[in-house]
Amino acid sequence: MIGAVGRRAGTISLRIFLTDPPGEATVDLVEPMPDPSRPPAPEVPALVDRARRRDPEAFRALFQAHVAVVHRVVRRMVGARPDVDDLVQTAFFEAFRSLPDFRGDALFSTWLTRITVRVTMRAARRSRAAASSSLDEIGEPASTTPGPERVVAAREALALVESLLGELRPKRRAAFVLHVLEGYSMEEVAAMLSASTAAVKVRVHDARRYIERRLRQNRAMALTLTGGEGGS
Amino acid sequence: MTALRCADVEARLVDAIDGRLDSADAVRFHAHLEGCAACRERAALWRRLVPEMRGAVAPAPGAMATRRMQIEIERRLAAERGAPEAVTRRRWWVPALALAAAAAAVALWFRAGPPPPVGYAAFGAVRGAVTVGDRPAAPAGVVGARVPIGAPIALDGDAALTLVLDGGATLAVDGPGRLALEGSARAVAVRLSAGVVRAEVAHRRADQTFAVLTSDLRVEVRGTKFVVAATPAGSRVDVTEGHVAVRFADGRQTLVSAGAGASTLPPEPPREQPAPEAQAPHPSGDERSLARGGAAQTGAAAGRCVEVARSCETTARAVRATMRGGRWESALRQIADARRELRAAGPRCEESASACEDELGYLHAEVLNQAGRLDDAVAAYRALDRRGAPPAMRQNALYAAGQIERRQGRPAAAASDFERALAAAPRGALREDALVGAMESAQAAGQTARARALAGRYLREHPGGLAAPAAGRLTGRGGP
Repeated sequence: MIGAVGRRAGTISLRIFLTDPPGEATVDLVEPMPDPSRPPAPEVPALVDRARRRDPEAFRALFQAHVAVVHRVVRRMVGARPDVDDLVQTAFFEAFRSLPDFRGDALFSTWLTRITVRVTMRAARRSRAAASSSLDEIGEPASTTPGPERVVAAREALALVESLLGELRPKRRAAFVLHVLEGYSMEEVAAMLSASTAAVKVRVHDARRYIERRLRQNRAMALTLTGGEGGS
Repeated sequence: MTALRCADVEARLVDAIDGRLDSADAVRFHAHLEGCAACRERAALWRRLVPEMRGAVAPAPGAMATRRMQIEIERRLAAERGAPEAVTRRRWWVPALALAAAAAAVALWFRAGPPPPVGYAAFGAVRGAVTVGDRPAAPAGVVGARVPIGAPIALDGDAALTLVLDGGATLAVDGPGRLALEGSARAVAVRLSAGVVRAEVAHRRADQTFAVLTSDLRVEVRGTKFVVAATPAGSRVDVTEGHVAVRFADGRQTLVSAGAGASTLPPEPPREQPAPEAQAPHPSGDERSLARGGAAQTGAAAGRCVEVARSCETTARAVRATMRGGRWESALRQIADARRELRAAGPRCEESASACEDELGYLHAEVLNQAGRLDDAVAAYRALDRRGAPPAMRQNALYAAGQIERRQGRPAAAASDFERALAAAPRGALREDALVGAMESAQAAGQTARARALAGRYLREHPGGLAAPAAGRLTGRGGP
């Protein structure tokens, strides 16, 4: 898992020169989330094979390798609810018991994320009470950057992001989290959510528009979430 | 080259930020940005927003939480495979055939090498000559390995080993001895053919069982400490904390509380002049728990108390079966009926009635918890503490209350429950978990001084514990 600091510190400026005219455009690349299209770590397929044969050590290794990612997805999907750990457990339980159905068409991590999303969507339907993140509930952020000001800032950003995500409708939230925050392609998100690519595009678009509107309404929020440069 | 529309650009924004556009798409993307101020502004905004939003990640679960999750997942997987029910329902005193079959299967596994069944325990410390299945187990090689279910484990006279069970129980076995683990994490069955087992069992949920079986005894527990010895002449159980249910081969059952024991060994020569009525109904029985109430409780009174204990255990089993079916209201009615009967019998048999009331009170709280009536469950757990239930049970109950309060987002109340759980049985099976719970909850409640004091205590008592790094950070002594 790539930590907060790594992503922030890992910003790369890439200049793309167009043709002869002086016009040039730049786009900042952030260190990407684990790319679902990248080949898996070589040991994961072997672990999956062993887990299919009910090797307990393989179960444990797969759990240890993916628990942080699953936890991150669950938190982004449901916020700081008290049953986050239960949802993580349920996602792994459902994945492990369904391993015989895993055909290997997708990466194990993609397949696991799909199950995680299904589990969290089900939980969200059961309990419409969205997590209202407050600074007191958030806990220490994942940042390991020293300095109390940085810690407080990261904490504040986490509270704001979870609060914003909590305002989105569940389907929009799922599409936004998977595409924008987790970095899956529109097609992969569509497969995960059992929706058409067009529907996913609309959901992501609507989520973006909503967030842009909220940032326009709340200048302090915009300053926090854009690194102090303000929103549009 | 087809130009992109605004909607196309927006759909490609994240791929552009992640560098996943192919070169042709990238050129078209940036060409559009050059000529479209709105898209340029939007792209600039999301270029700043995406890394900030991705960077806002909640802390990953700590070592303790990860361990708890892993144990729970394995428990659920094992439970789904259905092994436990068969173990608890079969006639417990005639397992020789099953044991032989299990031993043969394990021996086959050792020879042929198919993957072992998912076990629920690992070897801890091992000393001396120990064989697992039909293979000698070198201490260096076996420590940390999973214990194959059903494999006979034999210890020579000078050998000793510790088994660490998922879910928080440890078994210390001194040689010479012979035992096997059966069942599953949800329905633990330790079959002790010979030797002495010292068991320390963490809190078990009401639908989980933990039993040690000898040739003539079945000892069933929840969260407690006890010692079982199996010899050719008979078996004996001594309870250090909490209470256990003991069932004899002839069908008699009794609850044995801390400080008491039960045995099928031949009676020792009388130390004093025993009243004839004080002899146990079974010639090899010794139900000290019943006699503990005083010499006055003799004869018919003892018989009534045995009846109360039996009835209580029967009710408890019925309630657990109802709970397994998820029929919470029925379970609550069963408990209420049993309590009414108990009140009628109680005055004549105070100690057994009190132990039974504790057991029913605990089940009541567990049913409420599983039924989702969380505030009622917390009140019921705390009531056990107020009524002076045995220390291990109070620890279990208060720990469960603390967990609920924490999940409910009330960390200050959780911290108090965890601390009371710790005080109820400072050397109880859940002491480390309770201490960690109190520490984490106090921190979550913003009670920094209290959290630091608890962290200091944790480091003193469990310097190599799983939560030591977190405690170290809290006290400012470093840690990762």
